[in-house]
Formats: sequence, C-alpha cells, structure tokens
Amino acid sequence: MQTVLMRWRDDAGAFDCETRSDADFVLYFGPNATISDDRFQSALRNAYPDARIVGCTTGTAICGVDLCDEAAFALACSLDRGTVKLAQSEICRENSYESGAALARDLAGPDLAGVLLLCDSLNVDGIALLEGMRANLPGGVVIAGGLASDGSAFERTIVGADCAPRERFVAALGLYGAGMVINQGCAHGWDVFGPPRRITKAAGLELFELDGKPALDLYERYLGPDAAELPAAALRFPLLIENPDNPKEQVVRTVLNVDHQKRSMTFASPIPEGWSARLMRGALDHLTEGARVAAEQAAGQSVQNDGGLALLISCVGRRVVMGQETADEVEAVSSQFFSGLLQAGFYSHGEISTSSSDQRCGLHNQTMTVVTIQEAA
Amino acid sequence: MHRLLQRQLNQARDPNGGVSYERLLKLVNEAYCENEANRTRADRANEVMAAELSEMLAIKERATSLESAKRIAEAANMAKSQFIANMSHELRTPLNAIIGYTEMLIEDAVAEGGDRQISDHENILRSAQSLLHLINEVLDLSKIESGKLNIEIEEFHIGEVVFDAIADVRPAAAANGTELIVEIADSDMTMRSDPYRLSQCLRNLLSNAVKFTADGHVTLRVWREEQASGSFFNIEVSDSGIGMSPDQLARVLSPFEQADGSITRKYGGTGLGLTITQQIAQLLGGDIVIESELNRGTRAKLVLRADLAQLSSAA
Repeated sequence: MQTVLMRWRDDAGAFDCETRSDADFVLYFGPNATISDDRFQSALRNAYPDARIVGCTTGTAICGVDLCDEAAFALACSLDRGTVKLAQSEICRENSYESGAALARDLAGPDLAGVLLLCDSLNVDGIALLEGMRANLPGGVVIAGGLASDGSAFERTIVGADCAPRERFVAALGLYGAGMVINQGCAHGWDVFGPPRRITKAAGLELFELDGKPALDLYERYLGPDAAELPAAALRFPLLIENPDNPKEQVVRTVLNVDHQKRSMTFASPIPEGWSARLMRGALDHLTEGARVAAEQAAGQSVQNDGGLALLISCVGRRVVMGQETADEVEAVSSQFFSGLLQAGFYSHGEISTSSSDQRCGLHNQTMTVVTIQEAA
Repeated sequence: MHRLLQRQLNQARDPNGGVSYERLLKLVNEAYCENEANRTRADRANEVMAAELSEMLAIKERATSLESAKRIAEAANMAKSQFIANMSHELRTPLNAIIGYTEMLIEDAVAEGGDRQISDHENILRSAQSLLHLINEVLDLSKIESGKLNIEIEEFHIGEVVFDAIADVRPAAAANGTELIVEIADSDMTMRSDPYRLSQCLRNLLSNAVKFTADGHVTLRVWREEQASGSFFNIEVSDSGIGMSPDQLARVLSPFEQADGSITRKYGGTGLGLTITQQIAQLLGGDIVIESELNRGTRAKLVLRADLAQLSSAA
C-alpha cells in the first residue's frame, strides 16, 4: 500500500508535491472555503482521474504531526491488492437510518473488510445512520470515520464524494480484499467531576433538565463569563452519560447548540431520559494520554510493514481545550506507530468507531479515534 | 528545549529558515493567555463544584433533620392524643356524678315543691350536660387521631336513625322558627354500618343546620345509589341559613375551626363537629362534601358505604 500526503498551497492554487495518478482513493480535509474552491477540486480530479475522491470540512486538519487550522491537505492511497467502492447519498435527520441502510446495501460484498464513513454533522442523526448501516452489514465489517466539522462555529459542514462537497451529504468508502487489515482505537482521557445527576427531562438530541433543574442553568453556572460564548464554550464541559441498567454502557456527549428561551441544550447525539450524567473536564496530560491509549489500541494488531495509513479523527472539543498544546496528542499518537505508517486526519464533530468499553460501533464525542488501514504482505 | 517552545519556534520560521520574532512572541503570548484562561476556568469550576456539593450536603442534612423533626412531632401528637383521651375520661367520671346528683336534687325538689331550687338545679344540669358534650367531642377526636375509635358494625334500618336524630333537634328548630323536612325514599332500607356513629354524624349536621338557620328550613334527604365500587347511601342536610364564604368553607373541616371567631361567640360550639363527622364518615367507608354560599345556605352530603362489613372482609 502506497500513500502520498499533499498540502494545498492556496496562494499557488496547487498542491505542494508531485502527485501519483494511480491512487485507488484520495481523502481530503480542510476549511469550507478551500475544499469548495473549484481549483482544489479540479487539481484533485486532474491528478487522480480514476480514484474515488472523498473528503469533508474540518476546523483543523491533521497532516502528519502538524495541525493546520487554515489549510487543506489530501492524501492518496494506492492499494497493492485491495479494491474500493464508493457509495454516497443525500441525508437529513429524518431519513438517516434509511440512508445508512441504503449505503450498506450498496457496499455489502464478500470481501468487504471495512467502511470509511464521512458525513455532514449538523443535519444528521448519527446514531440512526450507524444503526441503519450495522443492520445491513455483516458483524465483522469495521465501520469507522467521523462527522465533518467547522471548528466551533457549528454553521456549515460539507462532504464530497466524487463531487463538489455539499451539505446534507454522506460518503461511505468500502475497502475490499482478504488482505485488508483495519484496526481501530478510541479513547478520551476526560476527567469526570462533580456529582452524578439524573437526566430527568430529555427528548431526542435535546436535554432539558438534570435533577429536575434546567440543564442550561448548570452549564451557565460552571462557565461563568465564558457562558457568553455558548454553545462553543460548552465544548469544555462534555457530559458522560451512563445507562443505569448497564453501567458499562457509557458515552461522552458534546453540546452542539443551546436554546436560551427553552433553557435546553442540543447534543450531537441522543440523550436518553433516565440515564445518569456527569460533567467532564479536560486536563492536558490526561487528554494526551487518552490519545496515546487510542493509538495503542489501534497499533496493537497492526502489521509491521512499510505501508499503511493511520487516520486520526479527534474531537473539536479537545482542540478547544488543548489550544496550542493540541499537537501533544497528535505526537502521542505518532509515538505508537512505526515510521512507515502515514498519519493524517481531522478534528470532527463526532467520531465513529468501536469503543473498547462496549465493543460496539458507535458515534462518540470528545474522543481521539485512530483507524489504521494496511494490507497484509 | 520545551516541546511547546520548540513547536512555536518551528511555526515562527519563514520559508527561508529564519525566525520571525514577532510571530514567535505572538505565539508565546497566545499560549500564556490560553494557560492563564484555563487556570481561571479550572479554579472557577472547582469553586462552583464545591458550592454545589455543599448545597447538596445542606439539602441532605435538612431532609434528615426534617425527617427526624417529623418523627418527633408525630410521637408528640400521639402522646397528646393519648393524654387528652385519658384526661377526658378522668373528667367525665366526676361530671357524670355531678349530673346524676343534680338530677336527684331536681327530683327531691319536685317532691318537696321547691320551685326556686328546681330552676337553679336545672341550670346546673344544662351546664354540666353541655360540658359533657364538649368533653365527648374532644375525646372522640383524640380517639380518631390515635386510631382508637372503635367501629361496631350491625344491620339496622336507616329510617330509625334518621328519625331519632330529627326528634333530637326538633325543639331547637322550633325555637328558631325553622321548618324540618325529611325526604327518605324508603325508611325500611337497611344498612350494615355503625348506627351509633352514623347517628352522631347526623346529629352534628342537623344541629349545625338548625343552629345557623333562623326562620327558614332544614331538609334531610336520604337515597341509595349504586356505584361501580359498591352500594352507597347519600344523606344530605341542606339549610337556608347564613351560609359561608369560599374562604370560610375552605377552613371549615379543620379541627377547632369555625367559619370565623365571631361564630363561636354568637352561636357557641367547639368547632369539632364537622371534623369529627368527616373522620367518622371516612371510617365508615365514605366521606363528606360541603357546599355553601354566603347568606344562601349550606348543603352537607354524607356518602357512606351501605355494607361496611363487605368492605372490611374484602380488605
């Protein structure tokens, strides 16, 4: 498996290195304006006329061990023996399950090893999308990926799949071949703090009350003057929610929006009434350690040969909290891999992977998710 | 070199490898500000959490002390009811002696033709009887509160109880110029309940109605009604008397409450009658509903289970 990483030079309107034209697929990540630019899309298509070209927006791209807040990059992969197939579709919150099911049916095949999923984050029910996919794919097929982001703006997230990137769009890249080795790791490193609270009123993605009091009141109290920057400020305090009937079933949830009149908060994924919730906060060392653990999980079963790709999907909330020291977590991931593995990725509004706690593919928030794609010799 | 500084240095390099110190300074400043802001946020979160935890602790402590205060209050209330029951019993014994001896004195005076003594002794007798009635009411309430009021179930004709109670209040009604009307579908209808307690309720309702109605009418209606949960008797006492305001009505079933203080002064009574009636009605598998309008009269309706034995055996 051969990989090439290319940085986009906006001033020159071109990529910074010579490209290979025989790639099977190309992934790209970058700001809204850049990846929507015709020059960017044409450059990719001209360089890789036969490749499946898939990408999405991000507030921060991960390019090797560098973080790029204002720049886009692309990476091209040529498989030795494996093949790829691309499925894409329009999507909205209401038809997310059906979209997932249709994509899965489109991709299902005897050698399907994994599906790389990129999706708009602001107009989709990520949980339903994954349920639709899982229900229509064999259990052994890995589903991993992330939801497009626009940093902490939460205004517009777009996805492209052999077409100009657009909103309300999902792309699923199927990876086929007996020799495909896909591993994943997912961990967060956030610290829970404060008392456990009961989710006393919630509907779908919207959380109204914790312990009978408006959830927004609690956040505003903890945020103090930062509350003026809601909803972005709430990224600093994700919520760990836990099923009281099955304490192993716990996930981290990120705030997407707030409604000051209803005193409610909208999360990136559903908030089940009756579950317990605890606030979380990030300490730099612990978040970095979380990223290292995710990489360790993925690296554990990776193939020690020269090629391969490590795709990093980390949460925008981690980026907000870690600031300039965000590079620490990218370096921590890098420390777990041999040098031949190309590392790249993006900061997302939701990470898709199998968590180590419940061994089930799910939508996560506030994690570092690492997916390695390799081919066995 | 510190990792962050090394990174900042790399970021501050221009394409030719030179370092832009202006850019480096900006990065270092930004990192410092980020660090300070994070520290402030962490301090604030810790303070809020500490405040929140101590609020929760205070709420828990308050709940514990309220629970303990409630237990103490309940025990004190029980002790009070027991004390009143005992005291009332102790008061009744000498009072019964006073009543008995006064009746004997009246008999002697009648035999001896002492008219003046008869009138004095009758005054003593009336006062003693009224005191006994009051003590009985207090005793009943304390028995109900301490769960010691016995209900004795037997089968009886409801008509007998109704007409006995009517006969009791007839003199007072006549004195007030009030007409008594009885509407009972069938006086042979039988009921399995406690006739003594039913009679007590009826006397309370009728004496109230008569007391607060001058030159009007008091109507007693009795009818049987089948409901999904069983068979019930409706016993309704309505009058054309002074009635009550909504505010007075809201308080009328509380113990020791009369519609207002001036009522006690003008009409007398302990304010326990309706409370006792309601408590007894509930013990007899029913309840009381009171409707009233100021200056238009009052309607009190007892709804009582026709066969209390059936309810007890079902329970």
